[in-house]
Amino acid sequence: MESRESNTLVCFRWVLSVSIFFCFLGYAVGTYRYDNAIFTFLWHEEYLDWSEDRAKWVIFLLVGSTLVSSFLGLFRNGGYFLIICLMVFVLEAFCAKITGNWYTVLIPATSATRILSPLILCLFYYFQVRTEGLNWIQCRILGVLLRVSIALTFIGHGIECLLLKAVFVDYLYAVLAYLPFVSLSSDAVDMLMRVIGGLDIACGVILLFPYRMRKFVLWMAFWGIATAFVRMVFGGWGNYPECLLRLIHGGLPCCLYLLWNYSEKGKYEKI
Amino acid sequence: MKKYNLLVCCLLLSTPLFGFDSFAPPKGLDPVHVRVVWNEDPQHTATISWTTGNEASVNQLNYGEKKSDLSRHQKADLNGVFTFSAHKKRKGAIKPFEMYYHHVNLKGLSANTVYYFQVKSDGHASKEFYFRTAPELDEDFKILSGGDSRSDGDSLTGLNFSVQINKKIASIVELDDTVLAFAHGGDFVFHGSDDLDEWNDWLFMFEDTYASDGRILPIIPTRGNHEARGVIYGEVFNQIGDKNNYFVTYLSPQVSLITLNSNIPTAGDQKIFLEEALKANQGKRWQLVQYHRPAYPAVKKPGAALQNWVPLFEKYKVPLVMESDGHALKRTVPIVAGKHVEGGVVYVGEGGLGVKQRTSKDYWYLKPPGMSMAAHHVQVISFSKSKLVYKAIGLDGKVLDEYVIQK
Repeated sequence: MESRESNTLVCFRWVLSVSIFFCFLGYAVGTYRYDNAIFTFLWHEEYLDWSEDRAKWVIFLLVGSTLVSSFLGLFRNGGYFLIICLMVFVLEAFCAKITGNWYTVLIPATSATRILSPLILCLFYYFQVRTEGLNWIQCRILGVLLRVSIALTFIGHGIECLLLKAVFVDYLYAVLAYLPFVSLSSDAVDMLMRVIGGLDIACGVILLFPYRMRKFVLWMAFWGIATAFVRMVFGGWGNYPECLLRLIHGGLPCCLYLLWNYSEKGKYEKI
Repeated sequence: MKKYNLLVCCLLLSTPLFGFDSFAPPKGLDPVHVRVVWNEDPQHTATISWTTGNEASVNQLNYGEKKSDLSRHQKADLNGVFTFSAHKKRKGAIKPFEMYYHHVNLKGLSANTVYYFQVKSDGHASKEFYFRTAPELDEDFKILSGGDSRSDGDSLTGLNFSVQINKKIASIVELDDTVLAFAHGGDFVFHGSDDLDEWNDWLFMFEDTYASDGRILPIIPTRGNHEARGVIYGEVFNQIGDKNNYFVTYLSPQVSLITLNSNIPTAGDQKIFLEEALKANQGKRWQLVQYHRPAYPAVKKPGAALQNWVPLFEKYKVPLVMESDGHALKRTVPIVAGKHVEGGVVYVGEGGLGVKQRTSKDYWYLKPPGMSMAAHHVQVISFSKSKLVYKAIGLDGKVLDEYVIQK
């Protein structure tokens, strides 16, 4: 029994840390190719108006440090470096909110899994140093953080679907193109997009209820991974950084599922 | 105390250096921001638009084919007050103000004809301007093209690159009367979706493109990401309520320019429109396309145009595509199916009408014989029976890049 519990926690840790590493790998490759919102904030004349070289060096240091930190986050001893990842993604979301021009109020919500996942893993390592397993308070803290981050991400993306975010509609057309027997008018596609948005919002809200709906969370994990891969369905293999960045949308629901499994079996005898 | 007085004086004197310097909103009924907008049929139609600070009861266009003989009159088809909003960053700094748009939709014009006009609001008249309609016969002509004209945040003096490039456009127009129109690739202002004060600046700065003899280049506008889905864009360019903003401009019997909107889904209706337009004009000598977010960018991430529009450009052999958004100057090698193929589609532009410029990435399609650099620029595209000549002109008037496509 003891080993089954610890196996669950090992799975939890690896799913979370690998998802975070993939996320920051995607972020680093994407930044190397196309820059990011922090660069825009530093370089753009409307904001800090730095020289291009200076902004590039700062970005190199920031993104390089997140990549190293997320790699170190795979190992227990390097867990505290994840705070750097957390700070950089908070900064990225802040800059995206300032420099963006389409419903930027949604950015903190849509980035919630990316921002909070390093914190969750960091806390997990911290708890593990203090106790062998996880006690019920620790499970509860991790569970709440996971629920909130997943819910915010689903609600944020759901609202973007309701607002018919152009690129999401394009993704939907790309997926529908693989279904030759389905031929929808643009109005029908818009309606379908809104239905998907409504479902996402409903999923996010339901997850905030204090019940453990395992199958439901597994569905969210599937949906999170599927929507990450849609980026590659649309843009081809070259779009893999976009996909890697978003695999965490499926990774965190998996972690929540594992945490629930653990805490149900775990009896909290370590408290 | 003296020290404090000195400090206050210094602060007051330095305010113009650091404070936001913008044009005052128009006042009274004197017409300002006069512009000509082209849409689908520039041989026979044009929209003449202007702005007043107050609401007028009679807004009228006087026009004719001879200088100082403006014997034809038409009342404005559409008048209204611009939607006032200030971007939240500047909300405290901008006092609400009103300004009114007036649009006259001219129809039944003669092709390749110079029209002189004057706009009037309750007796307050503008000076006399003129523009030329597009040719109905297969003639040689030029258009200007560029994007990202928004202010660089500097004062509205000669230091501002938008001002400089607009003056350059005026000088090109003055020297060359074969230049017909100005295809703008989008991103007119920074907070384009919701800041009327910035639009007021842009509209005043656009007056710098007028030639000294009153010639105005008709503008063929494209919606950029900074215009997003804002309503002011429609009010400026007489596209109120048009959520699509994509159309074909038939510049001559042998030249068509397709304007697309990269802010809305690139698939679906817009893709169908593009394919139909390209198919319908397949026999024409030159079919060009303009839109904002690039498929083959110099700097940023490729837009969805790469997946949905590029295969159609290649299928229908579009020779030249004008893109903006990246804040650089670029010309790709000819491309087909993601490879360098002679006779393929060439992507030019990236937006150099005023925004700060930046270094391009090291993409394969920008390497020689393609090119890229950080330079403010306006593009001149010349159409003739045998060839299309593309030139990028820098602030100092030098040709930064030149490319010829033979027919």
